[in-house]
Amino acid sequence: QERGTVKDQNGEPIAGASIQIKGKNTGTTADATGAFSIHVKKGDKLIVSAVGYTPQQVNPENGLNITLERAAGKLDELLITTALGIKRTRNSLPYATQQVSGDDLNKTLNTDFVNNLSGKVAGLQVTSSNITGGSNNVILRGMKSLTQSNQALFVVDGVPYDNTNQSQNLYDLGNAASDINPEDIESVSVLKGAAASALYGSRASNGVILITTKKNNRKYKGLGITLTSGVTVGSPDKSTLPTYQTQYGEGYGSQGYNAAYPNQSGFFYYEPVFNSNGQPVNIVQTDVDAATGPAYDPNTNVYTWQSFVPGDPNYGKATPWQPAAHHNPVDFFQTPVTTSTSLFADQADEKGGLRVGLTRSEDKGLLPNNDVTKTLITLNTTRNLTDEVSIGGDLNYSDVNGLGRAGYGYTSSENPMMDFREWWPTNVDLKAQKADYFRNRTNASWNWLGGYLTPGQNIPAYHNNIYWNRYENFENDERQRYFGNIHLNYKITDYLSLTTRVSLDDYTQSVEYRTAKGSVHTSSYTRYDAKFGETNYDLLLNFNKDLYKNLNLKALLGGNVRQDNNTSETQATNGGLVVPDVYALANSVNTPLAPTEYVSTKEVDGIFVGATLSYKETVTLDATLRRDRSSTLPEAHNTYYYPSVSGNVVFSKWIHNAPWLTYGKLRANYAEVGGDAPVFSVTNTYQYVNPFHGQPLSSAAVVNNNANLLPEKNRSYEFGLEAEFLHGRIGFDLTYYHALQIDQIMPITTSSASGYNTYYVNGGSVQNQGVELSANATPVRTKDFSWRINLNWSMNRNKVLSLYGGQPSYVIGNYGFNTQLVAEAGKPYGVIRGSDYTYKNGQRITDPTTGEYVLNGNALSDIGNINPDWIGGIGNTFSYKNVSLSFLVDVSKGGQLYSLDMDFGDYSGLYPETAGLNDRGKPVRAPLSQGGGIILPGVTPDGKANTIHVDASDINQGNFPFSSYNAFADRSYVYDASYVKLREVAITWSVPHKGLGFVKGIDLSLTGRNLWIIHKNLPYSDPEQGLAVGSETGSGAQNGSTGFQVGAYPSVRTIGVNAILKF
Amino acid sequence: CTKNLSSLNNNSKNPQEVPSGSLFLNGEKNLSDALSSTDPGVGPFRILAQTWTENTYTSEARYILTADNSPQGWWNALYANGTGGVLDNLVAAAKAFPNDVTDAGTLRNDEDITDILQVYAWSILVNTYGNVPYTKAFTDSIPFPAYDDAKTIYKDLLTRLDTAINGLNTSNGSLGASDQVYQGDPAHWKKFGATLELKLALVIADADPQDAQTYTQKALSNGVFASNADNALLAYEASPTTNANPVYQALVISGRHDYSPCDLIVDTMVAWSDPRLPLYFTTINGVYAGGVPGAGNGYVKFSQFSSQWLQPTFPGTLLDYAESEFLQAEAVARNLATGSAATHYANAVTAAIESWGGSAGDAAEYLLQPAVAYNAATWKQQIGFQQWIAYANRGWDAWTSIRRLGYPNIDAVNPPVGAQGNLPRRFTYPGNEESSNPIHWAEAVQAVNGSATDNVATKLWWNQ
Repeated sequence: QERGTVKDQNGEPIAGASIQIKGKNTGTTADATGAFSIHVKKGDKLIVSAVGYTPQQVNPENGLNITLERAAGKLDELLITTALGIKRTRNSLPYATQQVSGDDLNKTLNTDFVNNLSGKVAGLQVTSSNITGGSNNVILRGMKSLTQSNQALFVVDGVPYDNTNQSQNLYDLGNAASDINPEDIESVSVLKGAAASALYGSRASNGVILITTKKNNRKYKGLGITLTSGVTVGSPDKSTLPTYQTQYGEGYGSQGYNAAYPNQSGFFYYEPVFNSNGQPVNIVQTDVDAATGPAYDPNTNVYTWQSFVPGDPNYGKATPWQPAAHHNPVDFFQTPVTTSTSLFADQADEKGGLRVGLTRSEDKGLLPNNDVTKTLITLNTTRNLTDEVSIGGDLNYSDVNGLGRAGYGYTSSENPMMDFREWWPTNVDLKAQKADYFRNRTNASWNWLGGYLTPGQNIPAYHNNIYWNRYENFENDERQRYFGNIHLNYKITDYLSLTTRVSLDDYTQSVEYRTAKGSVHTSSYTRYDAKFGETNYDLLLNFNKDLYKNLNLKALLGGNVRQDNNTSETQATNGGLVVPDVYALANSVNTPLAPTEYVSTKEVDGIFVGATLSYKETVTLDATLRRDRSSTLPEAHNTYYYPSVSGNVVFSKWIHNAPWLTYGKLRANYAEVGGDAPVFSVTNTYQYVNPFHGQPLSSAAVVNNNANLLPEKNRSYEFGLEAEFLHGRIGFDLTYYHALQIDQIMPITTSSASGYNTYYVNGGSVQNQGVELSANATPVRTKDFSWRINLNWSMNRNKVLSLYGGQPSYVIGNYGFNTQLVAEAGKPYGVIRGSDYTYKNGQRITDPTTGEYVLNGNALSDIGNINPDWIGGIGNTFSYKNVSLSFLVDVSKGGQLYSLDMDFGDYSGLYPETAGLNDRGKPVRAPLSQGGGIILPGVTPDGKANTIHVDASDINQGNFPFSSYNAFADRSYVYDASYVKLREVAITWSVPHKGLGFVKGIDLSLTGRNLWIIHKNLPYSDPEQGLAVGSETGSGAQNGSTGFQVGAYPSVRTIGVNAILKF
Repeated sequence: CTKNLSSLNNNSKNPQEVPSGSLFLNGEKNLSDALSSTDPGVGPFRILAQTWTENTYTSEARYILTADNSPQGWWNALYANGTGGVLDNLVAAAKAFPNDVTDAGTLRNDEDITDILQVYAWSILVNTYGNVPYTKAFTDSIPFPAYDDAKTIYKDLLTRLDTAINGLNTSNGSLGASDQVYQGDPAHWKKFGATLELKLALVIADADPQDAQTYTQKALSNGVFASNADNALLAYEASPTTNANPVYQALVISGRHDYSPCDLIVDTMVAWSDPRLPLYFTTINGVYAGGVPGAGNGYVKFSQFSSQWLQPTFPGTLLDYAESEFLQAEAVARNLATGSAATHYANAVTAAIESWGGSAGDAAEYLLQPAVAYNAATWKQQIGFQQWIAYANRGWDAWTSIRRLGYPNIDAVNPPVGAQGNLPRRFTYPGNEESSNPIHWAEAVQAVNGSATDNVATKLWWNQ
């Protein structure tokens, strides 16, 4: 008895492959894992074949790990999962759909599989937040909606899976699709256009990520067990962290000036301190959180924040004025470690099968006291009750626990990166911060308000001790989710079948927030409890019959009722905590206020019909029509219809005299998709406000809702060409699409003089058109060695055609304090607005007397656009026998972002650009009289080069030009967001397991992720970061977050090992 | 399938009808909150007027109003701002009164009181920005209203105000406890209206002496505030913190230390041995020292605000008696009214000192100083300085007093370190107007500034 496996070029098992002994009538088939066993005699040759693959003759003496090549000519027999889980052959697929296998997807271990989609599908833009358990954006074919979500819909085994971004209270709690078990994914189909997803209704207008989970395979009897275990270790990519200037420390120029000591510069405070016997000493301006203080000089001894912390080795002492030994964020970060272990078992017989699995993973984050653990349980079963009737059920349970998740946005307490990128002097030693916090668990701030007060009376000015924030003011959260369905199939006749299904997606989310007593902010405890539930009832009647010779009709008639229920409750202490460290609502100084409650229900009832007519698997015509009725629209307009028509021709079947052409297909489609409104956008309501002096208080409606809303529409068409050459060695799939979003329902930012800040309208029309190309090639293919290339590339051109009421523009959100994200008619979605310079011949104009830049006087000029020009990924796989090496390079070209990090970092004098030497070889920050100052690159109004030095010697006297909060314009902080990244590298080895008895397979892999940012134009940060979470304010928050960096986390390189054992 | 699908879309947690008084009180509280706010992103006026200044982040002290988006914050606070707007709630209250106020006399009083407060809020808007949306504002179907001419609005406000004052009937009931300033007392609201009328009349005294005189006379005959007992104060409460005085919220609750008393007011008061010094400020090393505007000011090196400011229950002031006496002194000085300017002035200074806990004796002694005593030849200077000191916690009024009377002349005597130009004479329009209401914004910018560039240096129509 010999054992072997049959796999394809990607190492995927080929279930059901046939293994025949040449010239004999005996053989076997491979099981779900591609494994088989067979009796061979010396001299026997095997013929191995499978549908869709080129048959191969094998000599058993060379081993039985067999790799079959895809037979391009047979590709038309491959099945691709489309909407409603309907499998179609490639020949009858009239729209752009791209499939990624679970193995390709999970080459590198990532507990959130969504991040691993990046670069693997043309037209799919995945941006992630670099945060443990953090959120991501999944955008297909560009931004369509101006203010509503542009996120693709997730569907698991035909059932919609909620992917709401859970982030709140400035903490990034990630997206709910991260509950999907990566180990459970058989394949992911990406339905890009409206025609492909029309049957899912309006919620699918941003495309669909269709996930098929692994199932027990009833064809192969017996028990199968798979054990997977992996670990990855990370380290921050230093190119995405700040480089600091190390010539000047904490302070605000001459703010310490003291008239009693006119000889002192004032760059230190010069006063007596508690142990100086009334003698004045140099004291660091600890109340300032900027690096615009005195030049470092190790010969000067000064009192620092440590001098005022009892127990600190430097307590009561002056120490040399120099940068701290450990002032970089890397001294603060911990090593991120991800571990994941899964056990899956399946068993099947003629009547049905059962599959169970358990995955346990833990992500220990970059930040101290931060981890996310997941427990995922899978159970699915099917059973044939009779020959005609089968039933099945799936149940997935997930429990996700987060601790000390990373905060995002402009908030020091929650987001340490705001400190590190914006307000951070390099004289602060992180090791000392840590020791001083842990000594007595006190808030030993580096930012004492007036550090020369008596110790014990010191309080933090703006920043807590950075460890205090992590270990005292942390959040924790838990999400428990049940996702499952029960389905019944009834085969009525040969050509008619009925499927009914009831499915449930239900989770509870609870989050607790703390601010400890002794923090800058008043102590508090807040808890948030929410429940989400979506129920779907589906009924589907399928017809499949050859009407006539070579003419097949597939038709379906279906109905869907979907109900969403959302409730949440937020409660908080009032006026502080009575007892320290007890986080309970009852521990409130004042009586807690009434909780904030939210309850909503939404129902959409849909019926749909579809028909697919195909002739000889060569010409296919497809049409669908769906009618939806939604509870969120006004009753008079709550019903809407939308059709789609598609067709394709496999023209290669008609071309016989071109042997180089293996396959050729043209496709075209047109679809309309209707859409409803968000809940509660029809009727105005008042809001309760806390009572005042015992009197009730209420507020006028905050949002102007609209009782005349109409359904919105998305019209799109696409053309595609697929071709393969030279027996599949080269192939491509090229798509052009055009989508027009009309009558968009959106909350527009109004003039608040209207009495409202937002107004729900049908307004705005956005056009997206683009080209998607996916291509593959196999430059080398020998018996033992092969090299395959996969390319995904897409460009989307987005244009706002018109806005509500003919408005030229309106605000989508605010970036920081004085920069906006704006929709402008005639321009791509997402224009960045802020202050700008005046220019002559493309150069900035400087004032001929002051040497400072001359701004154009308009605080809101167009200074950037957030849309990338194109995105793409290129993957290479080299296989030698049973070892393969693959790597993926991910590219995003163009698009811009505004960095508040850089703007404020310049303001606080943190970056090397604000210090160093000038053209005269003198320190930029030296007084002009000593040869200091900086010549701002630019020209005078008459076009001559600027030669005047601008004083940068003393911010306290207004002499410090850097930052838009000083003499620069916001334009200086708009950066190109392009990047080229080495996203994934994986080496996998299928270990020969002959003689290991019951072991059917061992796969070992060594993987790396985000290893190298090959190219970028944004200093000190990852241009992709900050893109994921809505950290700006205003409507459409998440859409606009792609163009804004504030408190950005570094990119994390991970390296890991993974083992898969099959029994 | 649910039969009546639309019924699912009713927000079961938010009401579609509320008591009218609850809207009025929200508007009244929000008005006091806005006027008391220390947030530079809402009302940086104390900082502009140099009664307070900023310690570390000094943008507003340097007249960079875009840094924290002050023009947007102030505009929203008065028009509509989530649950915290002034006029949106007062407009909603006015619409809601007929739903639940059955007595015709009470209804009329409710409406007139609301209109008086609306005129108050509108006058702040129009005197901050110039032209603003007025006739087309607060219309559900107009998200992007056109702007009206500032002068035309102003005239309408004067007419509205006088009509409302005369509509009030002191023998009828009104808002009761839904009015936390006067408990609905129409007699007090009449005085409030008259004092406001006098204030609005004097703003336009240079530009339109005729109307200034007409409304001064109307105001005086309607009967202005006569003692500190008339002061329009909104008492705050300690809990919840959102019901505490915004100064307390900013200086105590926030845990931040962003502000110090400004050197200009501290030095001025020290020079005149002002009896309010210990009532306003603390000493540092035994002396009063104020922060330098525009420079960084180490918190512990300067005087701080006295404990009076730091009480959660410290009331917000909408209008007070001292103000009415200052205004009357000015009216006499301008020959818009008869009487003794010196007496009104002395009453004003005394009332101002007493309202902060000083004594009449302190005031009398203070008034003996030549720099403080009323001088008909330099009345703008005396009234300007004293009004400014009295307005130490009323930033918008302090700034407007400087804009109107020219004292203290900050541009000359204490320009901030790193100042971007001179003391702003108005606010530019908010960024949301520029980007979301661009057509009307451009018209208004042109009309107010006489150019396509919006400018804080542009003087409003009454500010000659």
